Amino acid sequence: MRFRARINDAARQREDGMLPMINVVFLLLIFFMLAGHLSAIDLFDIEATTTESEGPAQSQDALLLVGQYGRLALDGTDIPEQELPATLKQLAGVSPDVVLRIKADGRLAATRVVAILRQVQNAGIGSVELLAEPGSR
Amino acid sequence: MPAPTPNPCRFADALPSRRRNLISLTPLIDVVFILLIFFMLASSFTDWRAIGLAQSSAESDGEPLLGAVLVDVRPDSLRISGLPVGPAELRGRVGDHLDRAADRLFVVRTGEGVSLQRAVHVMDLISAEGAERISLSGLPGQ
Repeated sequence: MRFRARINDAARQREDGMLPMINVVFLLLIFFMLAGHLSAIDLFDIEATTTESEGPAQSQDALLLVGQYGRLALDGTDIPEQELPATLKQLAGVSPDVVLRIKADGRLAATRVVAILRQVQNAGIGSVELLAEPGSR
Repeated sequence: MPAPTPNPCRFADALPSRRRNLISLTPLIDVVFILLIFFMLASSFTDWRAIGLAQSSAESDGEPLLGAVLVDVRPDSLRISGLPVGPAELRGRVGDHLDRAADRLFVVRTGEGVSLQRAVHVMDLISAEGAERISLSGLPGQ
């Protein structure tokens, strides 16, 4: 009996020694839960445009991803270039007040983005936001 | 002789050891660690900024944009209403336009060979002066 009690004491002391570590881990957990936000991972890597101005992104609507070589993805789904007008029209049909957010690679030719904006406009989507990371060039 | 300080662990020591051992800390730590690793990997701390783009509705129809100020962005130069300017002068002229009409539309027209980053940089310069309506456009036929 005395041997068993000694083992229990040792285990209890080991657990008590871990308490500060658990406190730190709990604090880290709470920090990551509150400070970060969960969002879907982008389908492909882009080097986002940086901006020095403007407020934070407000809407959480549709997201159009445009890669460096013009690869397109709408809300995590790859779409071929020729299907973009039909997809945008469908999006505008489902939710007419949609705010389309465009996250485009900074190295992309601006004329390519302009062409996409024209297609967005022709599809009847009224508001467009260009997403950029804060920071200087 | 000083009074003996109360032992903070006295209450815990008074608990029967069987009850204290009912819940072991190890599984709790396992779960908390797994949650911590999940949130560390899945959380994103990027603070995305949205640049609102005014849509120049007449652009696709080919109608003239009345009252809009055209800012031409070329790979190595900037022009506002056709006049070559530097970045600092551009801001001054944008400010002058906004003094006359606060809701002036600025059309940033990008030429061939201009990266999106450069176009956004010029839009930053314009919006830094307080312009709220900025539109992105290309050369006709592009």
